[in-house]
Amino acid sequence: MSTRDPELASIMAAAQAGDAKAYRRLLDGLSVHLKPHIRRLLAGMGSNGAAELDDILQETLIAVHGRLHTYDPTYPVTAWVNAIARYKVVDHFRAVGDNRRKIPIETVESLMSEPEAEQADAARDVQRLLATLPANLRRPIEEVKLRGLSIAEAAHAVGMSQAAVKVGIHRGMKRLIARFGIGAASMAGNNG
Amino acid sequence: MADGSFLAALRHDWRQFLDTDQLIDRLVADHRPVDPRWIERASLMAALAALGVAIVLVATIIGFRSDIPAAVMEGRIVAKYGFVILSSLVAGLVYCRMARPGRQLKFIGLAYLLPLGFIGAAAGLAASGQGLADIGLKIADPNWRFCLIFVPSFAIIPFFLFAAVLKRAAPTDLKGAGFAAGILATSVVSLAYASHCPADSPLFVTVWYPLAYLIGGLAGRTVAPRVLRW
Repeated sequence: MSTRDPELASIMAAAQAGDAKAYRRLLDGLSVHLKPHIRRLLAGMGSNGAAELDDILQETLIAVHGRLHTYDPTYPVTAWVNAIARYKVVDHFRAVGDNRRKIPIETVESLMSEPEAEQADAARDVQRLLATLPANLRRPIEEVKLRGLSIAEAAHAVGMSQAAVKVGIHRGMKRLIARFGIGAASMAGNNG
Repeated sequence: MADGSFLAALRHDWRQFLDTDQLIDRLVADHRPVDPRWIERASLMAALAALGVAIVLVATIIGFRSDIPAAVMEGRIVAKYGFVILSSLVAGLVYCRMARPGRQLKFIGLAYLLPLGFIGAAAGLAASGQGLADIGLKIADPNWRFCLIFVPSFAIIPFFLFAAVLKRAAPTDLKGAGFAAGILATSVVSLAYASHCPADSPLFVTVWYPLAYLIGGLAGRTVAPRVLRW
């Protein structure tokens, strides 16, 4: 559960009761929360998300509006809205006829531990950098540098050998540094 | 709950004109109080309507048994009624949970084991001290065909009642929600069908009633992606 959930839950309760100010705060808060989340989902589906992010964010907000009565007060608000966002992402690709893309279960599980809103910008930047890499280089970096897994755990998570994970991280970071310079280098330093 | 036509108009507008802040303004302007227990209330209404439909179908097409009071007094039918009531309650709970976002049947569906455990225990008691031939005869009662035909077919209208509620809720596991709606529809129908079915043995009920539910569940699962998409 996000640490923002208790606050969001009380705002949600007021919004469900018809408080327009609380509802605006809720939608504003959710839109901040949802952007990096949807971007991550899109990245997980192999899309850079630039064209689709705003569409899906707005579709999700409309769905929140139409399904506000389905929020269960015993459930974390972020988990509730993340599930709606995930559904809208999948529905988006279904609508455009791309049924081959699947969101991996690890991505769905990671939705329950969303980055805080304060980290959203940094997370967005990192995702933007990583989105430029092919999956065999991006995934090892995500698992080891961002999620903090060991090489062995990451190898298991991405279905690669430990040697391939190490090589993937090395080549991926090298490529990022070559392409983006000091920014990527500092990312490697900060997260590694 | 937001009006469907408002949302349709909004979708049309925002695709052409609105940025996210403008969209939020529109949504706030349309905001009204919602009932957080809407799913439970609507499901209860749908279940009562489904039971009404099932009673009418059983009464008009296959008829009720005339010996129900005697069977109840003698306790012959207690396990069967207990099973169909418990199944309906559990199916209702699973269905309501599946109507909300983020719920997956593979976890919540374990609750279905509760009525199965109940009737399985009753069947175990009924089987104790009986020979295999007697047990086989009770299970293979010729009424099994009617059970597998009437319960799922009478559940078609109830299924669409439950699907209508799901359509206004927010299931994200559509196949799971469709399965849950199919199980609930057949369970509710079996509440009425149990008073037609002349086979009362828990051995019979243990095998054929869950199989009838499973047919309903699988049919619901099959049509769900088309019927429940929101």
